[in-house]
Amino acid sequence: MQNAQQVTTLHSSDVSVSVTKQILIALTLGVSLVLFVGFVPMEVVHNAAHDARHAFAFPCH
Amino acid sequence: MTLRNLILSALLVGVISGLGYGLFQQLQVNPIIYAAEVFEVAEPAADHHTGDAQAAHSHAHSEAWAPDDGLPRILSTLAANISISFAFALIMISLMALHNQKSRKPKVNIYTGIVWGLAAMFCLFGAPSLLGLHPEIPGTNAAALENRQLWWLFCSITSAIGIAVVYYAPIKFKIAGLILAALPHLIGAPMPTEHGFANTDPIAIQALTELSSQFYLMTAIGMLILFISMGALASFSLTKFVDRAD
Repeated sequence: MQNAQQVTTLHSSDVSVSVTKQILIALTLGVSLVLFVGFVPMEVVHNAAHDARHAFAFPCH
Repeated sequence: MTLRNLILSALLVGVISGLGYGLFQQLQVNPIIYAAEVFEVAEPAADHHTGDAQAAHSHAHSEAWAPDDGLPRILSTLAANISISFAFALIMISLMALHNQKSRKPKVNIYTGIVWGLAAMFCLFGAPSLLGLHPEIPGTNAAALENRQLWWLFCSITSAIGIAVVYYAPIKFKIAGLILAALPHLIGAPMPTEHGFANTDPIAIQALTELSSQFYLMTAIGMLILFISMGALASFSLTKFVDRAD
């Protein structure tokens, strides 16, 4: 009985760690995408996103 | 799976709010940008600082692809609007999910979601742009781009951490959050040596000054609509698609 309880606790804390990791991955993806569309100095990306960069008030040229 | 649900929720929120802001931009913001560009093109920037790398960088159009004026430019801007909104929504929903998972404070609902949206607006527009570097129409004099981008990101991050400290930390540490949020403004945003516009014609300056204040107002209104709806939608999709799936 005690063993079974231990196993469940272990298991649920395992799951919660991996959920946190997944949240942090999603957060990193979001930040990277902001940097790519809004800040990357590549000419092509700048030209494509030019008006949007201005409209979101990102620093632009 | 949490990651998939987070991404799909952010996609839903990002597409809706990005389309909304795209429509607003097309009607209220782009006319200002286009009008400002008329004066920008009239100014041969290279004549002023020949050989200056900064000037060459600032608006020298190289052979790189750029969308043609008209529909291609509108669609390209719309795609960028949706991408940025998706990215913002992904950050917001992830942090909300982290809050629901880790914090003992009340879980996010649609009302606190709107407060989250306003906090996000402060971190991503209010502090770095409105209080710091100011929204810029094309042709505005400004400090070196890399410095402004770094300051913008620094300000945005310290504002977010500052708000988090004020909200989550024990009372005696809350002051540290305020100091952190104030720090980039105490350092000061990188500013041009001379305020004004690249075009020095008095008529252009008058027109650009007027366009500039319109641009402040319209971006602020647009951002307010965007972030309030994003906060509400993000909290809705979080409770519906992310928390429920766990």
